Amino acid sequence: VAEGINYILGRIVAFLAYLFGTRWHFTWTEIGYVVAALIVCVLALHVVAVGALVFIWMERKVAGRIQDRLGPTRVGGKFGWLQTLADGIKLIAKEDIVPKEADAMLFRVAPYVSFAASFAGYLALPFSDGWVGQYVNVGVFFIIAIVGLEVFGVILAGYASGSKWSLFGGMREAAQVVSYEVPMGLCVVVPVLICGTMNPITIANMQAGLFTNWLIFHDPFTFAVFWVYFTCATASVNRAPFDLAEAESELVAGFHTEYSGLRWSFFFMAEYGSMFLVSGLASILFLGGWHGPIPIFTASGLADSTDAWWYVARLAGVVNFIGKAVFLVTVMMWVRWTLPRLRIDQVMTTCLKYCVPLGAICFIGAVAWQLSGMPSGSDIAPLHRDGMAGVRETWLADPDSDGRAPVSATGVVALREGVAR
Amino acid sequence: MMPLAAIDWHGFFFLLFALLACGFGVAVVATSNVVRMAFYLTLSLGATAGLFFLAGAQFVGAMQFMIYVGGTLVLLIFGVMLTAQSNFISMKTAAGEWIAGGILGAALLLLLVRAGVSVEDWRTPRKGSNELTVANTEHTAALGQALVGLRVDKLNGYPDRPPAPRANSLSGYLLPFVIVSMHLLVVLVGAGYLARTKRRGTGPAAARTLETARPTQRHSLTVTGGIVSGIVVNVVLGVLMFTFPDWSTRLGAEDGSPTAQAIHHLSQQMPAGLPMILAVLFALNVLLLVVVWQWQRWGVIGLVIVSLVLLGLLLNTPLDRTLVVILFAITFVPAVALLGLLLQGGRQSAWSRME
Repeated sequence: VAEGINYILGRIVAFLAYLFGTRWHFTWTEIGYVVAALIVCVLALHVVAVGALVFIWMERKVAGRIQDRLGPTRVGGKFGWLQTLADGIKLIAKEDIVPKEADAMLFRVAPYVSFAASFAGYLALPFSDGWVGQYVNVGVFFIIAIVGLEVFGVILAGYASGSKWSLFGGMREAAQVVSYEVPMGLCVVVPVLICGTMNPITIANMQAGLFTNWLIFHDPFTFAVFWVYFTCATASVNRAPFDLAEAESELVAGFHTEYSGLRWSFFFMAEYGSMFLVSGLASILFLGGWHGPIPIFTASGLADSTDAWWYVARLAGVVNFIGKAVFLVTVMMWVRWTLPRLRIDQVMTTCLKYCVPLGAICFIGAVAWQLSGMPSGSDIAPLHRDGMAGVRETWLADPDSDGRAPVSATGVVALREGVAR
Repeated sequence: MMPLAAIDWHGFFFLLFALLACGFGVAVVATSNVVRMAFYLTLSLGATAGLFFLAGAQFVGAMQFMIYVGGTLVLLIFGVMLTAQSNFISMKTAAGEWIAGGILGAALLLLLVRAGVSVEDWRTPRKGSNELTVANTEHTAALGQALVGLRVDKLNGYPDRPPAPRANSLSGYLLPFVIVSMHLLVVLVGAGYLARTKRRGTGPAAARTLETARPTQRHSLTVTGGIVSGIVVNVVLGVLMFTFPDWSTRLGAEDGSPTAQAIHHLSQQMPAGLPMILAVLFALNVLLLVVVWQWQRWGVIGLVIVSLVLLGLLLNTPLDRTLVVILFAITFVPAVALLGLLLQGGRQSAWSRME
């Protein structure tokens, strides 16, 4: 991309030089790299910022349909497309209030902490094969660690507001997130265990091919653990029916009772950002990431070509990935407008008495399934002669592996041989 | 305009993260509000995680986020917000505390700087720092393998070394890993226990009932004597076990009697990791005695568990199976017999009278 930008800039400078009849040369070739990096940054930022605009509009439409009404219809034409934008303008125009009892510095900083933590996860979230902000080889672990930090902003907001409602909301959120991190970690370990890596790119590439290779169809335990993960993810991003930190029926508005205007909307951008983040992680870990249900580009060899088709294949991957993540976000909305809010003790019971044991059983079950060599979903259209284990051991043995599953590998390289080499 | 490629970006970001870490560290000291301190501490630790990422140690960086930043979060919530009374929310530091803290901090800084300078590699300036490449840490699989007992780096580092599976497997981190996980489990159980007792009642009235209802910790002379003798016997056994290879070789060399030969034969059979196993067992025994002292029922159950652990450890050694069974029976049978004796006697059994 950087070279392309440099080329275009060079042509522009040459054209200007031709126009004015002077001798200019394009010299700062580093600019292309800076522009390319900025493009990546801005794109990732827009997944959160513009994504929130779309998701809030979608949430209203979904809520409307579920409650047998139309939702927004007027702003911006037939479907109320621009409703969120109108809301945004309203929020910007609102007065920014800091209560008298509040710890002003922490009160002001809290929304940014929440947003920054939510956004930092996108650093390691790949959108397509190799298209990732920063290649982090322990990306899954990194994202899980970051998701837990979003609550920090909420707790700070609850404490700094100087209001009992806010403090209650913050404390509930703290107890909830700290508890739900345990089963969520247990669930994430299962795909990591099957793939033998914490690199999200490798995990998704090991699910290439037909949709039977997706880890959710690997064995009954991974199928079960996906739903446990999804429940825990919903709880850890503070979505209904687990949104006790807000609980407007009891706590006015929970942790953001005292917030107004743009600061308030930062919390919501963070919430929708986190929703997309955990959904994206779920689609990478369980739903094949950017690999579609039928491998059109991989089978036709276009994914490995060197010409423009390479970009087209990657773009199709991005579409696949975002489609899956948006589908999961929609399911979260569906759940929110269908189920009533739980009580705090029910939330804790769900976590400690159901999610943790279920996660642990699925973990042990998945290990036993692998050890005993039971048939898995990836046997139907295997990527490798020896199934998932074969792919895993081949790349594990290869220190120069770029994280891509060796599709056309002919034999298994034993783990120990590779290590000794 | 300076060409962008000429800037030492690595150094730039190192300085940035280091300044952030140190700056927020100073802010922690300078602030008097507890919650703000915890906030600055989080930022400082986050900047340290950035340093790890910069060094290519991505796993350690993510760990820093998970454990330190997340841990400070929990500290902030449960340690500060719930316990902070009005006189601790905003702390006034006296002059004497500043001086004592300054001396302590300066001493620690001096020690760290001295230790840092003493590393040979860090003193010598690198040639061509622009060509410095970040270490290849692409595969965390090596870390995982080391945790289950296979040090890949050792295998790679010495290609001409003869294969020594047992020594290599013991050079991994399986034992520390298991010990740490057991430790965490104990902490978890303890936390659950503490949380449960607190829930019984709050307020002054409940506190008074607790005061009066607290059982007096009195042990009879036999229990005390038994525990003391247990510790003495364990220490003697431990010393004997650790010196066993020494005196068995001496015996085998000098004396030709069948007993000495049998002991010598046994010592030849000893696997390399036996001292480690014995050390664990020794620690378990001492722990068990403490448990017996505090909670007598759990002590008896612990006796059975320790013998089962012993069986598991011995089965993984190349010792003779008959020997394993005998050693296991020596500990297991008395433990089960004791349990059976205690449980006898219907409602008024010795078991029910234990605390």
